Amino acid sequence: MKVWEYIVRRLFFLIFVLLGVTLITFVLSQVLLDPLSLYMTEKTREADIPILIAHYHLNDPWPIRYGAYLWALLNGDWGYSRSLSQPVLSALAARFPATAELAIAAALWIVAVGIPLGIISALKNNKLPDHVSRLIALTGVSTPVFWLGLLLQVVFFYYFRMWGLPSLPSSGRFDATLALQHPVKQITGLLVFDSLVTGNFIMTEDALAHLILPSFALGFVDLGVIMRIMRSSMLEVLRQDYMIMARSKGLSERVVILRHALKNALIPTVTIGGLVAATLLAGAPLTETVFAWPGMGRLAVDAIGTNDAPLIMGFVLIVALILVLINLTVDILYAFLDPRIKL
Amino acid sequence: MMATRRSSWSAVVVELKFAGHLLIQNKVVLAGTIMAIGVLVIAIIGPVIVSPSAATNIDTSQRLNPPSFQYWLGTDDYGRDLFKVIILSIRLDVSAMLEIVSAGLFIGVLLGAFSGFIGGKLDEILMRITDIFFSIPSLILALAIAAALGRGINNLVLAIIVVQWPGYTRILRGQVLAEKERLYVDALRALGIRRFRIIIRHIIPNTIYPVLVQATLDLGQVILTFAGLSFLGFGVSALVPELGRLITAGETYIFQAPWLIAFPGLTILIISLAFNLMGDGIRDILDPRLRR
Repeated sequence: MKVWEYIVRRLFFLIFVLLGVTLITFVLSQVLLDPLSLYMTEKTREADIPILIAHYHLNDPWPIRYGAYLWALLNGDWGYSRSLSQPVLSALAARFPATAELAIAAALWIVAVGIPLGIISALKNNKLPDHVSRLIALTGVSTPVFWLGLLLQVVFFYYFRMWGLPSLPSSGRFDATLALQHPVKQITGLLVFDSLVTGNFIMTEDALAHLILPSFALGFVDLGVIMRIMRSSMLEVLRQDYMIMARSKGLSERVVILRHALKNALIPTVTIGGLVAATLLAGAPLTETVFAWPGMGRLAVDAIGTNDAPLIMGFVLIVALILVLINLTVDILYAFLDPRIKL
Repeated sequence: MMATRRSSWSAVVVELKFAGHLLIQNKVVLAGTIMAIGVLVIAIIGPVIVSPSAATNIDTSQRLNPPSFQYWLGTDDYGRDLFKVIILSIRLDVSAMLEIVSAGLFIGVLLGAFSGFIGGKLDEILMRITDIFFSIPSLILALAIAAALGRGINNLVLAIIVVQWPGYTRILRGQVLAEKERLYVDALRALGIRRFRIIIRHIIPNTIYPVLVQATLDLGQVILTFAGLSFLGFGVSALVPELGRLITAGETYIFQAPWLIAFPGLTILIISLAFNLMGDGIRDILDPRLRR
């Protein structure tokens, strides 16, 4: 019962935050930019402008304009991208799977590497492994992701090929000629997943190879964050009385750490799911630009070049929407994992 | 009436001196601090040790020279000495970083102090505004604001300031909520001292440390955001020395002249790392819970 109350409260918060974000994009696109440009297409004639103004209430007072803006958003009318000649929402939707695939790949490898490293550095607190992990963490948060991406391309694509080593692809999601020979049936849009379930293993391999460098660059920044949070969470647990209890029962160190400590230490790391998602999405514009990755972030950056404001605002909205949903999931998960929340 | 004449700011100085003392004992933090000071020195005296004309002297006969004794870090596509251009660039990036964080700090601290101390509707509204800002990654929001404001270095700085203050407001407000319950605040009020004065002279100096630590840590992040957005084309024009812009220019020759990317990026990393090392250490020193 209490958990449901908590979830309902989070849902209200979610709606409030989304309203707030739309208020920001509203101010940015209606006050700082020409509000008409949001809805004009290349087919809009001079005569259509008064109709647009009337339809979107552009000459009305602010609250009404905001209401009309919100209503349009709710109806899937996120404005029109003139550089792509299509509605903003469908342009973003087409690019969403690429961004999602890259972010998922990055999240997977940093969880797989970051959590064990965090545990090790907690167990070896203030010894060499701890110092090394601290250095990795600090270097990670200090590294310009776009620069790392470019350097990876220089080394693993260009130099490896020059030295006759197996080189990794430096841009795009797949090899175009290979994709023509082995077309992937679109199911989810996630290339690795789609090619795997349809048995198109040649494309799976190709898609994975294309993912390695960008997902490494994107995830590297967050690796340290996960590691440090896992470390401090583990340290916290190790100091609890029940750890002394477990040890005094004569349990082996292995069981004490894996069964008693790790289980409890992992709970707080769930909360960083939202944080990790946020930094991975924040890294999308830079990483996708550097690797010519056809995702939403690259779309937004291209939109800067073409002054396509509706697309940029749409990108902000969709990022906020994704993060709000992820945070809600994390909150609900946490409520179930940690009984103390119910208090 | 002592309290009205002496504010609590003098205690801040004592506390910072103590932090400085602890700082010297931790070698990693010390290394970071020395690096950070070095960066600041180069930012200040850069145009003295390297002639500013090095950034504008185009010499097409010396294009894309690899690093050598004559050109330590090679030359770029304009034939400029990359080492000199980087030295000159540090000034712009570092000053943008300091401007952004100090402006964000100023706005954030004032709003946070008043929000926490006065409470009520003002507090409620401000906190909900910060909630909204926290729901979008700052780089993406800054990107959108910069796009709406238009290109140029001032607009870029402004856009990052707009996303920077809510963090400080939140931290300070939390501190103030606890601080305002203290007895001395009642005493000051009983003396008939105005609320504004209490906040500025006593509440803020007593609650500012956690925000200062956060600001130090943020320096390393802000320079990445600034250089990143500049890399995407928001900032300066081609010949103005700026690190992110240098990487954009180098991208054209990524395989032909990789040093054009490697060194400006490495410079950003070193600057960011210096402030992160320093901030990380200061946080550990000031936060007893983390002293493990």
